[in-house]
Amino acid sequence: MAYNYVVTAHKPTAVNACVTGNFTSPDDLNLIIAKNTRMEIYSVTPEGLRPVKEVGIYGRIAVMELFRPQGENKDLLFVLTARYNAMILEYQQDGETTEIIARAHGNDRIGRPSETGIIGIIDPQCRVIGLRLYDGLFKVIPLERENKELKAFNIRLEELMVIDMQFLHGCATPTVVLVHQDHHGRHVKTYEISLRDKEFQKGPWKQDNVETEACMVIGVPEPYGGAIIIGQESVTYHKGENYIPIAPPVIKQSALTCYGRVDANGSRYLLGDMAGRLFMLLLEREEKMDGSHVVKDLKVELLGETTIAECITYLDNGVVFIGSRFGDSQLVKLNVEPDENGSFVQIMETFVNLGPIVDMCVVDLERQGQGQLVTCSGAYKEGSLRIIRNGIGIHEHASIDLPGIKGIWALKKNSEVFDNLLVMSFVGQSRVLMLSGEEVEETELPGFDGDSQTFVCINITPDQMLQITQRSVRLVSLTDQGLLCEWTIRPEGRNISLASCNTTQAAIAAGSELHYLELAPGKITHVGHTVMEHEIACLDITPLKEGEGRAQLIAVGLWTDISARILRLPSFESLHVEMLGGEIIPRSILMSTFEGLHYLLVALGDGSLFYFSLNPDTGMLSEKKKVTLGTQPTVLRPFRSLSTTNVFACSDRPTVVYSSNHKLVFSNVNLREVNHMCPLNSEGYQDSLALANDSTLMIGTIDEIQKLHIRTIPLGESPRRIAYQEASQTFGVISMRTDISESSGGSGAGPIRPSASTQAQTISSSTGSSVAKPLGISSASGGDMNDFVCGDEQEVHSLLVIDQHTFEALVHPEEAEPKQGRIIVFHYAEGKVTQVGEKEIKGAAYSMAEFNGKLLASINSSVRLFEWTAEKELRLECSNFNSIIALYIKTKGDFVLVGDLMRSLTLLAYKQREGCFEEIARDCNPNWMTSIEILDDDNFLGAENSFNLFTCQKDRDACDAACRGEHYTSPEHSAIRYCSWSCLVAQLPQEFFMFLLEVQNRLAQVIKSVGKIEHSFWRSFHTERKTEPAQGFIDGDLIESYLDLSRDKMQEVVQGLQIDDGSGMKRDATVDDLVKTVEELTRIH
Amino acid sequence: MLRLLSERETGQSEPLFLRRAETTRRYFNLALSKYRDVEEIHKGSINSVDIDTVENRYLLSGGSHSTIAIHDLQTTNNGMVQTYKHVCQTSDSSNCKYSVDTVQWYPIDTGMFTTSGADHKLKIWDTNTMKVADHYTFKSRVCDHHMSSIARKHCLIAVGCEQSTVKLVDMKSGAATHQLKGHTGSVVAVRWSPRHEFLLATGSADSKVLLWDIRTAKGSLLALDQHNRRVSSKSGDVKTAHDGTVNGLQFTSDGLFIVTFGTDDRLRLWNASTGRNMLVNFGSVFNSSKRSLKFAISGDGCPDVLFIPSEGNIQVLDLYQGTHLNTLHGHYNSVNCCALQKETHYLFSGGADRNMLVWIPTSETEDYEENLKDQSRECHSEGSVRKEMTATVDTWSSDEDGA
Repeated sequence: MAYNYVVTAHKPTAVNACVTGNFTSPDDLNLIIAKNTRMEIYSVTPEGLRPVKEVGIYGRIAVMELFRPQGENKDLLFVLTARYNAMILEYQQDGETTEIIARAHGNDRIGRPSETGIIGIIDPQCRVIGLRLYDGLFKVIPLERENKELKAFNIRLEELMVIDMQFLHGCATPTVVLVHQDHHGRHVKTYEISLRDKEFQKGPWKQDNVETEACMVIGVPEPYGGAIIIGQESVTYHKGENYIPIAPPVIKQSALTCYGRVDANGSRYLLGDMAGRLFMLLLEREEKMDGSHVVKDLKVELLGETTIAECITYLDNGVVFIGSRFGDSQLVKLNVEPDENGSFVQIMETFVNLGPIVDMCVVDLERQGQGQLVTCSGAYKEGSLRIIRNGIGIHEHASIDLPGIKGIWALKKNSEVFDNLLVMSFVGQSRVLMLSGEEVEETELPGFDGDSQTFVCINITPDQMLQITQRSVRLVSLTDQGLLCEWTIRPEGRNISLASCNTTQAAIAAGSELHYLELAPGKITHVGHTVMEHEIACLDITPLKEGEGRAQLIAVGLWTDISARILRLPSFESLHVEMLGGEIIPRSILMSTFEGLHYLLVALGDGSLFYFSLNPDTGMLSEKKKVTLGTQPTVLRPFRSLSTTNVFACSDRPTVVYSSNHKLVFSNVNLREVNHMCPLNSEGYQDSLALANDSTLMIGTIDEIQKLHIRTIPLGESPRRIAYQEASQTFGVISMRTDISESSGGSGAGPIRPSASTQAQTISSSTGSSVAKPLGISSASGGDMNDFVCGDEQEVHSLLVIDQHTFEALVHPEEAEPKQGRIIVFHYAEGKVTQVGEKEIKGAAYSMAEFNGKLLASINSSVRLFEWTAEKELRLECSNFNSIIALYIKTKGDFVLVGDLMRSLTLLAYKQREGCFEEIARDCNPNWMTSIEILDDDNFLGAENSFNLFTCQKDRDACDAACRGEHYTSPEHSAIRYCSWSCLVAQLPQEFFMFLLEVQNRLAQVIKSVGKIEHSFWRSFHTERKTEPAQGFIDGDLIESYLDLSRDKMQEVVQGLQIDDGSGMKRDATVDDLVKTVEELTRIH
Repeated sequence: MLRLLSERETGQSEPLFLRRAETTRRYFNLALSKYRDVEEIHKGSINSVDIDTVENRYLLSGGSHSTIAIHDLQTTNNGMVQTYKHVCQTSDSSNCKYSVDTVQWYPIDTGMFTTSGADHKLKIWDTNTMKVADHYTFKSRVCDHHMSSIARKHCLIAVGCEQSTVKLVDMKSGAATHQLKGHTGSVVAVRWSPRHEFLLATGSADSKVLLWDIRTAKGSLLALDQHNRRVSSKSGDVKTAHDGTVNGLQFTSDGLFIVTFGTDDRLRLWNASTGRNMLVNFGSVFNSSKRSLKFAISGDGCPDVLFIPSEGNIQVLDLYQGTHLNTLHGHYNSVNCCALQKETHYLFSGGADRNMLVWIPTSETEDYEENLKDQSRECHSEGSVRKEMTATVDTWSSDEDGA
């Protein structure tokens, strides 16, 4: 049985839906964004969006709406998942939880899921919620405050194909307006919902034969009422007899997909279309003689261009949030005056979105031993390549070979802004370097003790610095006046073992003696000293409150009893003693403030780090947590980057500690080893870090602090496939573009752009020239014609092989399989791409792969092997015919795994001697595949149409592959790689698997999910045909959320859990055991 | 389809869309398979076929010479050329051969199936031993029977007999006493609703189709009226669904609609909850059989498709619009029944010519034929290559130890 561990490596970034309202409190304006399975709640402040909370849901969010029932002072949130779990959430004032008011489960099982998707609408007077889940049925949920269970009933819809529905405003009984389609065309109809009879009554008006592409309905609020129907070419306002159509030519180009209401009275709406254009729809009104308001006219105006919108919400003051699924989401401002391009739109902020990821490849570009992922992301004009790296990158600017550095500090000498001195400490000596521009030069500083190892160096004032060495504390003038003041421990000869200081205070340790000094320009005053119980291992005197300059507390770590203590200054009153446990002494201790919260960080000699919440007034430590950073003693140094506080942990796995969402996050830095560092802001190296390891000193800049570093290369078209050629370090990318031509005889070509490696950034492209062969063009309806060119590509030898075909786009079900296509071979040399070969094939090559130096292509229903001959042509070597449509192929050694359109997986083996393929095994389940991967010789992974993952194992004796594990996951996974990133799959040994399964079950009980959706339900394998519980897979997201639990909850989960202690015996697991295990698992990604 | 594939990848269209479109295309293009057939077992005409719902793998058929056969539709090599072999069969060894009119798999698993026929009996079989486990005798010929596939609260088999009775057989208790009265002619077709486990529809020779809620003691819920009259103006007005025997009756897979087929050569589509005639014009579909006719409705295409056996052909019609899409020719005599294999989109039909035919999407056949041509071409070229190779093969033995 295959045991697999599935975890989401990167949180979903594509936006599904967004709403604005007062959710957290009656006064806060909130923006709530739904991203697949996560909801992000932001507060809209004058400074921008402030994140409030992030909530994970056990389901893909399909519908999200805010509403305010009678008598409530803030909004409630209605959420519906794609598997028909419904819930109503309310934000509780104590801030920690979103309470579930009510929940329901709407799975009828016997309906046909609608092709136009799930429609969820709420009555403006909050009497009912309406859901269209299945064809022909409308589910009504009456809203009553007292009911905890939402009771729903179904009403038969005569109209089987409903395009869109909405509730009308200002009606005595809840009334819906819907656009439906039949063979005559599209029509608009209204119905009143009779709650008593549980059925539809005839509505106030209807309209037959509206525009054939009418796709959206907007309910207009009081006092105007009525509805706006939006189609591809026209926008119409309906209210009973009042019927106003307009057909502005400006919207014709591309279909309108979403809208956002601007004014509460519905006089303005924002519309977005597939080309990323933003329009404003104005309702011109007039007041009639009898006082009633009617809509007189509609106007549409083009505002400008944004990302391709999935949802638009108007926040406040002309600021609009545009959530996108195909590109980066944006926060834009609408200006009253157009800018020089005539656009009223100004982009304020962009939020990175990786999806939809169509293809990707894993490469090791910078040879750092860490793979980077290059993805084809986005679609249409938002298409781009994204280079994703795990961890923070450092860009090297300068490096000096200098072995033995034991400490490094940057100082300002007579300079207000920039550092210009670098002090380096070695064993038994210290050096001062002067930085002038980019040059580094050793210099002399009178008064500076260059014959001892320096412990700390800091500027007291711009012209005085403090140097603490083994021997003494020295106050040195930076204006060459030499030593101003010196202090040594009495009795003489006693060496200082450790020191920490800030601009006004210093703490010195000598053995178990602790001395406290106060510093002033020109003066060092010994204020007091105490003797600690044991020898001092580390100490810190960093001020906690910003801008104060003085610390009230001192943190000390001791030998022997392995404790961390907080003492008050200057009295050395012991405020808190924390036993760290274990036998490894603390090597570095630091008090720091992140996002307004105070923490104490203690790094031990084995590379692990404890962190506590610190109360600056009482000195109390709470919420102890532990992470393992490396294996060597760690040194903690604070630094600031982009006005946020961060801590650099120097060890054999350098890490940056920063805070996100009020939680500390530990992110790897792409460096092998760092022993010491200091922030450096010199004229030549601004906002940099100086990093030292055993042999070198490196000065470099750090990337933006985030867990995954993403670099974007915009393409402007939809990238479809990518392939990497190791030899020339180039990427070949195929992108696709749709051209719409008005009359017959034209055809569009998608340029193929092999782009050079990301460093070089040159893009050379060659257009598919002979594409313009019209293949019997016949015009589709309306005289518009779309020709598509798509392709797939692979690297073979030094050649880039691309497949290309053109075909007619027809409306289904006449849409035929392509019958003709070509495989084109390109050669890339010296920055130019030339075509060297071409082969006609019968059908479309859906997938290609390199196979033992030859080209393997899946063409329609066969898998064929081609050889590239010396005569520069592709010769067919052998084929295998056994699929409906072979969509995906993956190779490993001599085996080929074929993923079929609807017949799941097949395994073929290539017989070298006979030169043909033999079918080894086949999975007989009817799975419609979306992606496949080979895990190892016997195990294979497949993803299928309804967002499920399953594994197959080859039976040794039998000729078939048995489906062994099943698991439901979330979309955005159309490509899987062995170390895939958006959703990582790893294999586990059996015992470990059983252990994790136990942990998972306990966690599912302890962790209360939002919406009370059972975890087992969420992860069960679900298709239209069957639903089965997940087996053979462990949900990594749930396991890793163990680390976020409070200590008590952790204990609850561990209760009674047995762990193998390495010798084959089982013993009770402790919280730390489990924490360690889970941390190791998080390291996979 | 390429466009749909790329749209599915970018997330622009739901994956469901691609699946529906492909499925519908396949249903629209069914044709007689030249390469696949079902092993001949029946000696008489085939009256009823059913494919199990659990694995979609076994084809159960019943014929007029009281033969029952089960064929395995899953093949190991999955090549195109197949004969579906029978797994087991049975026939009455006595001299009197009664016709088996209806067969149905037990909806929960393939361990059990039921048959009924001209011997006035309803038999429950154990598949593993191919022996009758239980049987119920009725006063007249059993025209049709049906078990509900969604029933949780009951294990009832509805039986329609020639004597205008509808009997409910309870498998748990063995009782066969519950009777539904309302028809005046032989009850030719009975079907449970796939949506409501207590809703039953029956069609009879008295031209009526009645809907029953079996929990109530009163008579039928309503009768389907082909003219959609609101209130019967005259008492004694009989609501008829057809102008002849209603011998074909099916619910759509979501249970929202009922399709009825009558000897008046008409097909009608009804709203299952209101009983309203949807007034879809299917045209004239020839129907001369007095026996119960089993037809198939596809459930996962868009639009859905009806496969109606009519005389010697199978008519393929659009379910909601009534347009005639295709006629499947192949049988030599009248076609009695057909069943759809859901996941592979194959249609199996049985007829009076003792044949069971397989209909598969033309795309598969075309692909296969293309591949055959390519293969033969390859063989030719390979043959020539191999000849070259044999000429240059070193025939010296390189084995030093051997001779």
